[in-house]
Amino acid sequence: MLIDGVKRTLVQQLNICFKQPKIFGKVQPLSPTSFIHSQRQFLQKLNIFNSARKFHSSPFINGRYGHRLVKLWEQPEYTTEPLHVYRTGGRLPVKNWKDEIVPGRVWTAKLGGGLPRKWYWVDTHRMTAEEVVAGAVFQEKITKIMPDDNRSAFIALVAGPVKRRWILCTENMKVGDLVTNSAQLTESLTGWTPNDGDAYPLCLLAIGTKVCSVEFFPGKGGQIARSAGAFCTITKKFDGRVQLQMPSKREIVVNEKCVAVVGTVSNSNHWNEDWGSAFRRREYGLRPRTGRKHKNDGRFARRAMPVRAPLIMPDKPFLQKDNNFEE
Amino acid sequence: MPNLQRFLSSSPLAATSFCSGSITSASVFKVQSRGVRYKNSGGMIGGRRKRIPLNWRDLNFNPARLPSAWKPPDWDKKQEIDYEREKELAKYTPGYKPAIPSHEKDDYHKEPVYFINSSLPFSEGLKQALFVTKSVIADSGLPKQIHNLAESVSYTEQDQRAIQVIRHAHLFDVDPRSLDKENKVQRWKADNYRIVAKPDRYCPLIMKELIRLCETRSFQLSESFRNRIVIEGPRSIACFRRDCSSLDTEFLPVQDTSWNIRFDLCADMQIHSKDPLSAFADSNAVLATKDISLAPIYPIMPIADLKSTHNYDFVTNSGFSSKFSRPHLHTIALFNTDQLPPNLIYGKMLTHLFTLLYSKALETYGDNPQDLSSPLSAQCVASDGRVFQFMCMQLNTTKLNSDDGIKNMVWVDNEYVKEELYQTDDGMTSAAMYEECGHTTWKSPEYYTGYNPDVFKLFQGFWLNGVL
Repeated sequence: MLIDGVKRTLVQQLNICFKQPKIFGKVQPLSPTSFIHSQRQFLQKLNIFNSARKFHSSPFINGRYGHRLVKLWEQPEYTTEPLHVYRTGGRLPVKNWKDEIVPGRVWTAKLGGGLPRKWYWVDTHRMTAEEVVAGAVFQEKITKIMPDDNRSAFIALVAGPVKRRWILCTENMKVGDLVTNSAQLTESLTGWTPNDGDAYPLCLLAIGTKVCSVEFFPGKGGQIARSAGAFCTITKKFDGRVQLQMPSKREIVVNEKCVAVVGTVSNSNHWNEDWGSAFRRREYGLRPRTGRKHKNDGRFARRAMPVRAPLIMPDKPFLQKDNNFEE
Repeated sequence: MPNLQRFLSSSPLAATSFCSGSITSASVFKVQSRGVRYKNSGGMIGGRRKRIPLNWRDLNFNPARLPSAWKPPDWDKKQEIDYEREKELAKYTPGYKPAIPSHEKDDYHKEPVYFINSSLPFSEGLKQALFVTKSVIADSGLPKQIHNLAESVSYTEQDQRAIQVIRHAHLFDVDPRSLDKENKVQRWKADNYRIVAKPDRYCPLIMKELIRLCETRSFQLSESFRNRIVIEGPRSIACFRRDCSSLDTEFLPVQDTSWNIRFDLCADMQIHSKDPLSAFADSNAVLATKDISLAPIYPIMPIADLKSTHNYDFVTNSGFSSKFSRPHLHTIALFNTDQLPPNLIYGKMLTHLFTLLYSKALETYGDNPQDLSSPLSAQCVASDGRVFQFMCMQLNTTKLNSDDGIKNMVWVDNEYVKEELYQTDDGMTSAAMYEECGHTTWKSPEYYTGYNPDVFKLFQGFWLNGVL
């Protein structure tokens, strides 16, 4: 049977193919059975972060809230106050003759306009790597829960011992509750069982628990499962590593000191809500589109795909040519 | 000739061959090949170039993901200060004040101070302020003597006059900012079309007019109005070391629970009198505060969200000399023009009261921390023009080294404040003088709705405390 121009065995069609782990950080010898179509596919196999379809010119694939420019470099330190979002109109930054940076040529024609919105600095580091190593335990009180213009999930304002900050809101958080960030299991706070919204390193959590806002590398901040209703499931644990199933159903192996938040992300009914009108899209800064999506390319049904091998992350982030800010 | 013309138009190739000249033949060749070349070579004639590079997704040009690309290239350079160059500039330019690094300044201290400004209130509001100033809420509601005084002082026409003040501020007051025809004051476009009064205009106006009403009343009742003076915008500083021994530090990131704290505040209006206010509570009630513990603020620390500096001057100052003829604080008035929620405003009022009373206590009783033989008391009123907050405070001790012993006492007009202290910022409530007033409330003929007569009665009682 020909799918995607590749001959597949019956075993592969039934999604029972053998999982062949891929190791990143050094070039992996390709097995003779794997077939390379193009240079792009080769790059994809080499390194997921530099070549995968992470960003797209279409905002419908990037996410409906993906259009923002926040001047974070002007902030001397963390603030809970909302920051202004500058609209780029889908244009790339260029220098003019004064060496000022101004919007230049159009990069994507699908963005533009929209209502003004505010950007809240959501802290994805529930615990830093130092606090995990030191075995810190501290609690925070939830004072406010509200929707955010720039993401699908809700955000929560918490008052901690030193400062107050915005965090991602999980499904069962309520105003007035205490959430725990702990690098050790303590009976006095949670009674040996982590509550919804608590942050722990993955080594302390049991197999089968649903977690969200999971770190890929210790101390880097939560990166996966941050949108509404998303969660990862812990499937395995072995010698200092934890295997998780990501929202895409792909599996990933990370260091056990990576911090995760227990529970699923809030606003899980987000996928079910209606835009209401075409103008609602314009309010979000999305220009009208035409044509039909053929994204899955299964024509009339879901395409049968083999299970992909789990990603194995090293202890430290490997060299990436990526200047990303958080968010 | 017409026949020949028709022949030429039908077969251009023949015409080109017929007409001598290479230009025409070249142009025909271009027309035929343009489409093909455009597709393949993307405008380049000699080489082969793909219009979209193969790895164009890898370039990660998403401007939303690349805010650093929008960062001005000289941003970091501008932030840096070249201190050596500053020194050189100071040498050769007279009157130049060079920038000095903070650890070389004269007022540098090793230990930081945590400070509060009028622009930086306590983020947790009343709860945090109570813990830092070592005070407890004495009773539900305001002291009874103020309520009794408010009843005795009130007269029949006062509500009518108060309503006239409100309507004056909202309906008939002309904002001079709306009159500038040269457009010197830069404002939002929408503000030009707005008729409604703005809070930073009507809030001080209503407060001052209500105070004027109270003063006329005091003039009717007694001749003691000469003993008073109203001061606008005085500055006062209180510096102290707070040791919170009762804090449970098991789940807090610090072990040392003593901090230097500095309040540097400007009250909007302040009334001083020749005679001190009588105490709100007896000596028995003061002694009874030994048994009351401070309201717990876990999980936050008392210094949560406070800014800290190493450059400061650790001196308390009430802002008045000892020879001042009206030395005793009577009432503070705060204009809540930013329309902060009641919780934060109560915290702000408490910090204002504490700075003035504490600095006064240090002047009279000396710098040694002690339980005051005769406690100091004062009042505070805050308003955003519609919602009013009242607070009384009695300073019993200046011993802030421990959480035990006698505490300072606070009364708040909200009767359920002890329960609402542990709710969110929006949870606390306070009394509104009226529901709505303005041109938009056209349904009621008087252009206001929901007037509450108790608020001005209480305001008047507050103001005339100590007059009779």
